[in-house]
Order: sequence, then C-alpha cells, then structure tokens
Amino acid sequence: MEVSMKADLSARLSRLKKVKSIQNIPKQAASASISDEEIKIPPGWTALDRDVWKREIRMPDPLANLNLSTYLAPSDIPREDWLFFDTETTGLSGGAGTTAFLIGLGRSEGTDFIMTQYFLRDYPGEPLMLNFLKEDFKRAGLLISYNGKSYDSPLLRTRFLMNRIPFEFAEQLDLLYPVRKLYRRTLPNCRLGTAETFLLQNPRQGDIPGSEIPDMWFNFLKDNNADSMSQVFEHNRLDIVRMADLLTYLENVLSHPEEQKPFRDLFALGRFLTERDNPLGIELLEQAIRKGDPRAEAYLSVYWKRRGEWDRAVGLWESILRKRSGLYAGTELAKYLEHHRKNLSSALIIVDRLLRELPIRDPRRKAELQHRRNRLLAKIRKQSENS
Amino acid sequence: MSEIGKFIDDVKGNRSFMENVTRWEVLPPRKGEYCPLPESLPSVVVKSLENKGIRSLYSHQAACYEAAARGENLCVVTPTASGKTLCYNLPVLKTLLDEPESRALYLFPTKALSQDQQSALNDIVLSDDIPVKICTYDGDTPGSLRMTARKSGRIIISNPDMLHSGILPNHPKWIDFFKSLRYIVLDEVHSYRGVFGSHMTNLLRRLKRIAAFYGSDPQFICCSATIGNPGELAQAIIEKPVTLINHNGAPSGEKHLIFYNPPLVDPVQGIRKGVVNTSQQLAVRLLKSGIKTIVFSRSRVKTELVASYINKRLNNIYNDNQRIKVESYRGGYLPRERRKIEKELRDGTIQGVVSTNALELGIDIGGLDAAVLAGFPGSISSSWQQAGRAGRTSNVSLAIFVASSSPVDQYLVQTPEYFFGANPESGFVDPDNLFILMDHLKCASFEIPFRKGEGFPGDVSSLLGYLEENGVLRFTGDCWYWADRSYPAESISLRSGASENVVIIDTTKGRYNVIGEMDSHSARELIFNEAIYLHRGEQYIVKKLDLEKHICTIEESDVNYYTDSILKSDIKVLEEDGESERWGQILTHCDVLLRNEVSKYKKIKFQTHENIGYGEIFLPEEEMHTRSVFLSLKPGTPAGDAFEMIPELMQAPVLARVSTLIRNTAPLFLLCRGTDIGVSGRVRDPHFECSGVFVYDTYPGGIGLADNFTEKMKEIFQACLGLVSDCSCKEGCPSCVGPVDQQDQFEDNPRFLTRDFLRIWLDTVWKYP
Repeated sequence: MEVSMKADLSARLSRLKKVKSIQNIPKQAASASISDEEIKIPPGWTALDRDVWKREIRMPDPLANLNLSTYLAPSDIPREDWLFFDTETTGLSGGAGTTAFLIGLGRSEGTDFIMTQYFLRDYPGEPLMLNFLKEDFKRAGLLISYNGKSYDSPLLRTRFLMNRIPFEFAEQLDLLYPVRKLYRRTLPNCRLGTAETFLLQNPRQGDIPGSEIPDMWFNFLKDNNADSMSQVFEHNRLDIVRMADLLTYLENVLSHPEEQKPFRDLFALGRFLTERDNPLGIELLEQAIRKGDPRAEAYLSVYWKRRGEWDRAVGLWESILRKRSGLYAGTELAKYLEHHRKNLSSALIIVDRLLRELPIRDPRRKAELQHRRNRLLAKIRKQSENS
Repeated sequence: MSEIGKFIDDVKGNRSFMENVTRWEVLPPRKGEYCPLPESLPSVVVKSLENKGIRSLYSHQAACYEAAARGENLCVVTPTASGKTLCYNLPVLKTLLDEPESRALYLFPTKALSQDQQSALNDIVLSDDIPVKICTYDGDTPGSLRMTARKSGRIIISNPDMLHSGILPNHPKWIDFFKSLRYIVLDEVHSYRGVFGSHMTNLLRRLKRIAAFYGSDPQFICCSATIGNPGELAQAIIEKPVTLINHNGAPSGEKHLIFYNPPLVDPVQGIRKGVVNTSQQLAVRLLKSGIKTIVFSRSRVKTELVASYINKRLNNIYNDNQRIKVESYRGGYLPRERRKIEKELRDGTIQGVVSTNALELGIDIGGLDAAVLAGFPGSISSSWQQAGRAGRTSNVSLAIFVASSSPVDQYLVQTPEYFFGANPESGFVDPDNLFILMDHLKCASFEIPFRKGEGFPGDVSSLLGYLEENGVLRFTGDCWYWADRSYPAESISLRSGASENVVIIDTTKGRYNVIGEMDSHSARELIFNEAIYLHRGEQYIVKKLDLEKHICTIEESDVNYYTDSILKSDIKVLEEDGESERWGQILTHCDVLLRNEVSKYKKIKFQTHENIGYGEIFLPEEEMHTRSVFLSLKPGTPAGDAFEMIPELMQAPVLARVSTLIRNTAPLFLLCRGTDIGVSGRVRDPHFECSGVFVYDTYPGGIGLADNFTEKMKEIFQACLGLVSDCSCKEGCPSCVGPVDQQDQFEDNPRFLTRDFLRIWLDTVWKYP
C-alpha cells in the first residue's frame, strides 16, 4: 500500500468503523498478551504443551447393559474399538475459518468407560491437538457420533487438511439417523437433548445452550479465565456420556422391539425392522394397523404388492377404502381390478368415486385419474362392441 | 440478390424513409486471416473440430493458443462473431488432455451466462471422445451434484458471487480442484469495472492465495469486448503482466449502419413519432422481407410492447402469420423458457426476437441479418455489441439505430460523427479501496490465517492490526487467525442492491403457476398492485405484490392500456460530520438517505400511447443509507461568488451541467464506474440553506468514493474545466455538459456559461497552495 494511504489511515479507518457494521463485534482486542504463568490450568487437566490441554476421566461403562441388536453397531467390531466423539467449535456455519477448540472422546475399557478431552488453549496448538486425535482415531474401528456425519466429521477433515496432517476415518455410526427414523413422529424434534429428556428420561440441568459456546471460547482467549470454560467442558463430557447411554437404549429397543417403551412409534419401528428382514416388523405393523395407523396400512399394502401377495394387498386397500377415499389405495385397487381381474366396471366405479369424493389439488394427479377413467370407458365400449 | 440486398435497395429508393436517415455508414467486408490448426493440438480435439467443419483457426485464436502455450497470461479482445470460445477452450482442452489431473475454472459475470456456456461447451466443443467433465457450480446446482463437481469436474463453470461465498470459504472441500488448478478463464472481463471490478480483483487475490496454499499457480485467459483499455484493465484485475491480443482475424461481411430519426409529427412542438412504434414498423418490414431480425429495446416493458405489436401486425390466420414467429426475451423469464427461445433462434424456428440488453452479451443465438436498436443503449460499446448481433456470417448485414426523444439520443442521431469518432469507454478498478479491501481481508483471514509479513499482495499489516483491535482477528504465534463466530462472506455482497427476487405467479382461475421472476427493485416499479404485466405477449394484471414474502400474484387480463410508474427521488441529510475547507471550497461529508418513491402510475393506451388516466401506488419508499459530500456554493466563498454572477434563471441549468461534467470526469479519478456514484445539483438546498452539489456513493452504506472526492477534487475540477473548454462539440454533447435538453425553457445549451462559471471560480482556487 502507498505511503499516502497509510498516513491518513487512522482517520479513514475511524470513518470505516462508523459506517460499516463492525460495531457488533466484541470491543476488546483479541491479542494474546497475557503471559503463560498467569493462566491457571484447571484441576484434572494437564498441559501437553503451551496451547493444548488434555484430561481423562474414568467412569463405570454406560455400555455395560447393552444388548447388541446388530442393526446399529456392527457385531464384527469389538466393543473396545468403538470410539464416541464430539466437537465444540468456533462457529456453526462451517467453512475453512471454523475451528474445533474442544474434542471429546469416549471408549470402553474392561468395565470402565474412559473419556478423553483435548482443549485448544490457543490457535497455534491446533496441529499438536490434531496429531493426538489422529492417533486416537487410528486405533478406533467404529466412530460413533450424533450428527457427526454432516457436521463434526467434515469439520475435522477440514482441520486436518488445513494443517496438512494425513488422516483416516474409520466406519461411522451417526445416532441421529436411527433417532430420526424411529422417533421423528413422537418427539418434538431430534436433537440430542430432546432424546435425553424423553427417551432416556434424564434431562440436563443447567446446561449451556450450544449457540453460546463459540463466544465463550473467544472470551476465554481474551481473559484466560478457565473457570468460565468448565461449563463447556462439562457440556462436551455429557454429550459423550449421553451418546453412550442413547446407543445402549436404542440397541435394547431394537433387540426387544416387542417391549412397550415410552414414545415408541409402532409404525416406524415396524418399518425399520421390516426393511432389515426381521419378521417382528410385520407383526408390529399389523399392531399399528389395529390401532388405526393409516401409514402402516399403506406401507404394508406396498410391501405385499411388491412381493406379489395380491390377496393381502387387496385386503388392505379394501379396508382403507371402507374407511375413507384414499387416492393411493383407490388407484392401486382400480389398477388391480383392471389388469389382473379384468373387472372393468368395478374399476370404473372406484375411479368415479375418487374423482367425486377427493379434492385433488394437483392437476397432474387429476389428469392421470381422468385419463384412467377415459381408458376404462374406451375398453368397456370396445368390449361391448365385440360381444 | 439476397433479401437484405433487396431491402437495402428498396429503402434507398424510398424518399420518406431516407428523409429521416441522418447517416448511412457502410463498413466494408473484411477478409478472414487464418492459421492452420496447431500441430500440438490433441487429435481428439482436432477430430471434434473437423466434425464441426473447422479446419483452420482465425489468427487471433491461434495467437491465444500460442501465448497460452508459452505460459503467458493473456487478454483477447473479442467482438461479436469472432469465435471467442475457441480462444480459451483450445489451450484449456490441450492442457486438460495432456495432464489428466489438471483443472480449469471458468468465471462468467452472471449466472445466465455461465449456464449458456455450459451448454455451448457440451453441445459444440466437446464430443464423447473428449473425456473432460464439465460442471456448472452455482446457486442452482443441486446438492447431489455439488460433490461430483468438486471431486471430478475438470472444468468448473461458475460466477464471482458463488466463488466468493460458496467456493473459497470452503476451499478444503475443493482440495483436489485447487491443487491442480491450471487455468482461470475470465469472460466478459470488461464488465469488471469500478466497484464490482475492485471486488473482483480482491476475489482473485483470495483465489490466488488459496491456489498457492495448495501449490498451484494458475494461468489467466481473459476475454473482453471492445473497450478503451482492455489489456490494462485485465492486468489491473489479475495483477499479473498480460499479453494483449487485439487483432481480430475473423472475417465479416459488409455492414450497413443506419441512423434513423423518427419523423416529426408535430413540427411546432418538436414532437417525434415514438421509438416503439417506429422500431416495430421497421422490424415488421424487415421480417416480411424474409430477414432474420433482432430488436433491442431499453426496458422490459418496451420489449413486451414491441413484440406484441409486431405479432399483432403479422397476425393473419389465413397464412399462419406469414410463417413468421417472433418472441420476446428478457431477464425475468424462467431459465427453461430462455433456453427454448435461444435454441429456436439457433435452429431457425423463430425469425425474430425482441430483447432487452440480456441478449447483448455472449449468449449464442446463431446468425441474424438485421438489428434494430430502439433507442441508444447507454454506451457506445453496448451500441456496437448490439449492432454486432446482426451479421455473424459473411453476408451483408444491417443495423438501424432508432433515436428516442431523449437528449442523448437526439444528440447522437443528429451528430453521428460523435458516435463514430468516440473512443470506447475505459474501465478502471481501485482494489485498494479501503472498504472493499477490508471486506476481503476478513474473508481471506477466514480462509487461511495471515502470517506475519504476508502481503495481499501489498503490506496489509496495519489493516490486519485494525481488525485485531476490533476483535475479529487474533494475533498469536506470528499469525492472524479469524476469531469470530460469523462467516464473513455471508454479509459481504459483491454487488450493490443484490436482493432477493420476487416470484411472479399466475393465479388465473385457481391456477398457481410460476411464470417469471424479477429483482425487488424493479418489481416496485413494474409490478405494483393493479399494474399491467406483459409476459411473452400475454397480458396480466397484478393482484398483489408482497415484497416481504417476495411473491407477486397476477391474473390474465385484456385491458387496452399498459402502466408506467412515476419515480421520484430525493436526498435527505441524516447527519453531518462537520464542515471542512479545502482551497476555499466548503465541503461537508455527511450520511444521507436516498429515497426512491413510486406513488403514482400512468395508464397508457396501446398503439396510440396516449395517457388515459392515473392510479395510486401504495408501496413503502425504497431507501438507501449512504455517504455523500456536499460541495457548497455559499456566498462569500470563491464558488459561491462565481455562482452568484450567473443570472438567476440560468443557475439551475448551469448546476445541472456542472453535475454532468462531474459525473463524466470523476470516475476517472475515483477509479469507479459512472454508475457507482451519483451527482445531484441543488439550487437552494433546504438542509444547507444554500446551493450546492451532492456527490454520493450508490452503494448501501457507502464505499468511500464520496469520502475520497475531497482528495481528488482539484484534479476533478481541472478536468471538468478542460472538458467544457476543449470539447470539440458545438454546444454541448454527452461527453461534456450533456446535450440540449428540451425540458430547459430556453434555446441554447449553457455550455459557455458553465465554462465561465468554472473558470472564474477555479481561478481563485488555483491561487491556494
């Protein structure tokens, strides 16, 4: 930059400050000015070097009561090789400028569960922290997370790349997916905290909201007061422990699906098992139908139709149509009557009923139905001509 | 004889037509200069070219290929129909085929252009034999295709906005791409001028920094339309030495340029026949003679009007409209619709098209024989580009400029030598503009921490220090790290007033079909409640414009009028920063509120264009908070005293001319585009209680141009005086004080009064040290 520009830089910068919306950012400068001695390392933590701290916590293994269903954690990976992980980051939108400043890990060892946390005391420690993490990851056979597939893992990948550290990720199990599949309808949302409150019946007390976490670290960088971080450490520790609890819970539900448990969605559970060829699934779906769940009826009718079990499928469609005018059931039944039974007039009666009773907003659907009707009429006409 | 030759002979013998022609310029045909296909060109490419009938290159295409092979960065000037795409596709394909890992990035200034380019590349240059995967990566790319694009796209086609907010901040996801990035193609580089260009320069600094992080150093190929300083502009934007290739080797046929001033219908009041009606009549005449024609009009409404008039004139069920199909084309149509029109133009299903400047840029629509310009498009280079749309082949072609009644149009049509003598506009950038630089430094720090001593490319340590003081960066371990939870690119826009589009929905008889979209700025002026909206010849009435939900619902209608809103603008001073004085001139920097209000609209009858009524518009005012400097003409100062000497009646016109002079000269010194600043002269401004001139930034929040005006004031006024004194025009032209304005209540243009005012004032100013 030119000299003349530098000369009046401060004056122009003060204008810039006024006009641009930098006012919202913290006022305090973020320079590293406090000397090392002033930083108190909290009890339980050890400094791996100036900028990386570590702590280990040993506790009874929450996985002790786990009955493996084989639908989540694969049975061929020994339990000692599972590694739970979770990160706390400097922002929620991702990108190259978002850093993980706290990484929590958890694994079983005999009857114990060992929790490890790495804390980045300042930016320059990142490569060292990642190198430790890399070694832990290398030993793991299965990485278990909550929303890790779309958040924590890509973020860590980026961090490894930015620091030019070669890395590998083991097979991953993201617990968000089964929770979504099984409880989307019965829980208010699928956040980990919600699952803890309703499924584990163990709500967190006094936990900090995740959205405040980035600023707590930025504040720590300025005041170096580790006390304020203890809440974040605890939050991260609980995330890991509760993931282990949740996995135990889900595995037990899937091992004994017939057991009544709170917030059980019979249809979702039945479908989950049916997709995995567990015959218990059909039983649960039939239970759901008896309880009047229309999703179960529709799902199972497709299931039978795909397998060519027409009688069962037709039975379900008829049962649906006895209750209400269903577009799907009606169309399928009409198709069946037309093509398999060659019973054109019955098919026409059903199509007419759908057109009469259903408020079909989608013009394409309506056109399809109309087309079907016209074709049936033409066929009937032809039939009567031939006879 | 060809149809066009017949047409030319025909009108030449037509006295009533020729009476209105002010200039008929014939540009002689030019022979092509050819070179053989380079020997080093991979055989699959040679084969693919031969399949397209290409067995040699134009000399400039060959020059591009050679310069690129020597490793040079280059800028090629590419008038319409000069085979631009081969200029960059050949060197890029050669490298991509020789080095199987290598990648290229193509940047186009707009999304529409990049999508067109993808189809051009897919359809024309590439065949199945050439194993190079091309991917468009922009806001419309579905998530499922993004990963593929990042992993295996050899050529990525994108735009500056996507690069800024999507690609660069996520560069680790693009590692495979960046580490082997060999070429960056910047098309339409002339559009990166002024503030947008300054953003672009900084964006490329960020890109080069990331490429260096992954160990690559890409080569640049820039394409520019004809402007005053293409090489210099490209060099300023990529900040590397550039080889300029500006000798066009493409052949062109004989070209007729006709300047046409519509006849006077009321010679007493000087009222001429309207530009819309004149243009459509000329177009119909051309089309009926079997000549493929494009009509350029200056607004979306006029585009629709002209197209519907032409179709009405051709309407005849007995001969199927004489088998002539004419479509309208403009921004705001759905991409699918636009692609269809482009394709039908290429394959000849459509004989005529009426377009806004949307078709002026490089979208491929094949050969057309005639262009009708309904009004001058605002700049000389745009005029040439629009005229160049006719005559892609080596045949004779024709372009007719039809002048509107605006002062600039009338000046140009009455003084055509100005048009032919004018130098094309030059482009400037100011990448070290503090506001812009600061924004990009934030983004760059987010992307990769700044090491101490690292440049961008100049020394930026004091600016990084400033960001550190403000807490967005943290300096530790000899590095500045991004230390804020936000994602900086998200809140920084490369363009002014980039806002969400309004979706236009046809709700006739319970339908709910999206038929188009429009930016919210234009929506306020065009699709307010009760407005008549014309879309591809269909007429609709607006039921409701909901600017908050970005939805406009419309229904079919068949009234006999269209609507035109009346825009009122106003400047309100919000806060003064205090007065300062420089060379006796009193200057006040201030925050101002620019207000644009549409409160009324006119109903205008189709065909006759008479005004048949008014309506009210109830929309909130559109406001922009920005920075301004007020140049006071207070009595007792040199400027004020000189101003007092002007007869009162002439004060407003002189002030308007001074504003035009400033608008014409300031961009050169502030390194911006004419549209980046606004200049408004006021006689007795109510806030300052004296006369004066506001110079303001047209970017929300201001971007430092008005603030910088003080620094450059002396040079700017010197240039103003030089321009008004030395301009070779008789009594004012668009380059100096502006042409004669019919609105003024007197005969002549006060060019010399303006000159004298400036001279008297500045004579005093020069005495200051």
